[in-house]
Amino acid sequence: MVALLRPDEGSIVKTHKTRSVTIKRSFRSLAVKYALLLLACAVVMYPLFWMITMAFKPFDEWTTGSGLTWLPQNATLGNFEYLFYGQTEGLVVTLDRTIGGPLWASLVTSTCGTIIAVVAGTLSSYAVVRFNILPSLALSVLQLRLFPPLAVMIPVMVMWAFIGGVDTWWGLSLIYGIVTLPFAFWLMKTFFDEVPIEIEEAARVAGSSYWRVFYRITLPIVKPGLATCVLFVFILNWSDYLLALLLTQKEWVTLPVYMNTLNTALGEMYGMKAALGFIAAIPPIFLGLLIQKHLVRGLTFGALKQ
Amino acid sequence: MSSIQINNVTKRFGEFTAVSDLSIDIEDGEFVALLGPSGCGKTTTMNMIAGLEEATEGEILFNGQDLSHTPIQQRNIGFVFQNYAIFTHMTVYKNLSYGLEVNNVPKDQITSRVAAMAKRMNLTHCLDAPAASLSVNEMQKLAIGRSAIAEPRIFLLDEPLSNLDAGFRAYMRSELKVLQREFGQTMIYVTHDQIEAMSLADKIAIIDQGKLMQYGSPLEVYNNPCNRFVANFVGSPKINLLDGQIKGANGSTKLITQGGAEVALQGKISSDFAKLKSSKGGSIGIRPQDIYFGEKRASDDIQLHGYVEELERVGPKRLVHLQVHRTQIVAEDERDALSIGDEVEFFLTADKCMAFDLDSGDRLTGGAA
Repeated sequence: MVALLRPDEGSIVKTHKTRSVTIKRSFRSLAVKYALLLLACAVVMYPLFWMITMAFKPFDEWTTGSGLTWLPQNATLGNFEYLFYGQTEGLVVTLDRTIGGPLWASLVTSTCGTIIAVVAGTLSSYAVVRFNILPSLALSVLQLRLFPPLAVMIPVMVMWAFIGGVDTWWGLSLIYGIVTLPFAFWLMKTFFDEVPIEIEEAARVAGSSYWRVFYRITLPIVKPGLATCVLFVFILNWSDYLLALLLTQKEWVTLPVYMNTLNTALGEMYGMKAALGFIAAIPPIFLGLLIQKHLVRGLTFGALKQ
Repeated sequence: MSSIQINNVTKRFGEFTAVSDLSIDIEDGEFVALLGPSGCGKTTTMNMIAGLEEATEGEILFNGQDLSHTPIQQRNIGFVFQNYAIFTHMTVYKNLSYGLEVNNVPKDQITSRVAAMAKRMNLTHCLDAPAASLSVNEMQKLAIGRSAIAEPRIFLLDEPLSNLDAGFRAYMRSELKVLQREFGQTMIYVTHDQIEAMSLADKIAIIDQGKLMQYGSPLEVYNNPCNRFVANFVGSPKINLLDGQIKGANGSTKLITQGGAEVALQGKISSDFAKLKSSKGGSIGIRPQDIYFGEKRASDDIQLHGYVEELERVGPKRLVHLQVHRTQIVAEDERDALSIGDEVEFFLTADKCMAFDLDSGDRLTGGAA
């Protein structure tokens, strides 16, 4: 009997041991997980925190003169005033160019570039997915994204000079549209791939033309995807520095390029740059909030089974 | 309403032939089932009738008129898809009204027709609900309602019941029959379920590997299958097929099964097998209800001896699985008196036995009973 019982006893003890070990381990791994998440949060949030606090600090608080503090001691809107009006109290240097022009340039070119990329990307990816037109297009579009933009920038500059597109709103919009097109194409392609063909066939049988099926049935179904696509492409265009630097000179300088000009005889204007960053963050956030209800669905679209 | 003639239609996808030389005549107002196993080409045939696919060869005529160059949206066809293809981003009302709106039906007519169809399909309570919130059963009803509302001249249904639960499937089956009578439309119904086809259709077209096997009324294909495939595919419980070599000359023919059972053949079935040419052997088909126990009823009936391997209750009836020399035969047990392990004598009713060529599968005697 004893001999028979032993293996049982042994295994019971063993199970208890493993269980307590598992609990301990899972607690520890949870703690590690949270610690890592907090760290990641801090890494992401700290620059934002820095930017926001810096934007409201007066000149002597972002120079080492009075010692650095976490929060502004004498919060001020002076940095914003300086950006919009070219001067502010307590600062002798004035600003040649205020933020108005670059802000407008960024808004116009990013919006137009987004429209170009999303419209062209949506239509072409639908054509490839549904009508199998130029199946090789999918890969050739991807090629646009495979080389570093800098590698082709000199020829592009020459071409843009030739067509008169340098330092114009349409020239910059056009290059934005072209550069972000592959992104829009591939993103929309994954969404169109998910739409069952029967839904479109049902609409066709009911008497709709191809166009009507596209805008009454397919497009509304992929609306979450479209929203995601618009936001991502807009952010890509909005944050571009290189293309704007090379293809604009004066009239249509965008915010990122403009930011780099905020240096004076007094050195880097950190406060103004932070204020500029603060302003520049608003349009994408606003756009994100506008389409928020579609966004969650759009980001998880591919993961859902029908 | 419309009659449909499918004349020598072939459909190839590259090297693969999905449908080969198919000809079916469908009369105005008829309910026809396209029946066959998965991948046999029945959905492709359906898609060609609808105009979703173009035939590689042959023609499809509607009332004698070739519509191959008419765009699908002008064909006035109702199509119910296997996965319903509900417009999930719209409300139930919008789903129903879609076809009418596209065809520029006046607004007041749309409202009244949608209301009537919703009432007919029991969807009135959820007209304003998003279609995505419906249950599978309601989606099915919506899919049928959406196709029927435009009063199409032909109505195509692609395995509409296969995703439903058993109870609702039986209900929808009878409902479809009623609907067809009400609408009076020509209906074509694709299914792999022979019970659905048998219970619904006026005529059944049995298709295998892209070829038409048999086209006829449910009773015709059941009682008079023209080949082994049809015999095997139609009927529940399944027909028994005894494959084996045919030995001996006229008068004393024998079928020797692979398991070694010797079946002595007399009369009509024996002369049927006289036409057998293939060396692969022949096959006797007999339906379970045509096998009986007890006294021999006709002199030509084939007598066999075996033991009861398994008993299976199907509703009020009981099926007996008999083992004869490693060959299994299923019979209907009318007397309910057998138990597992019993050794029994049983008889195959001679005039219900069918002879098939094992090589080609063709019915010997040319299909006439």
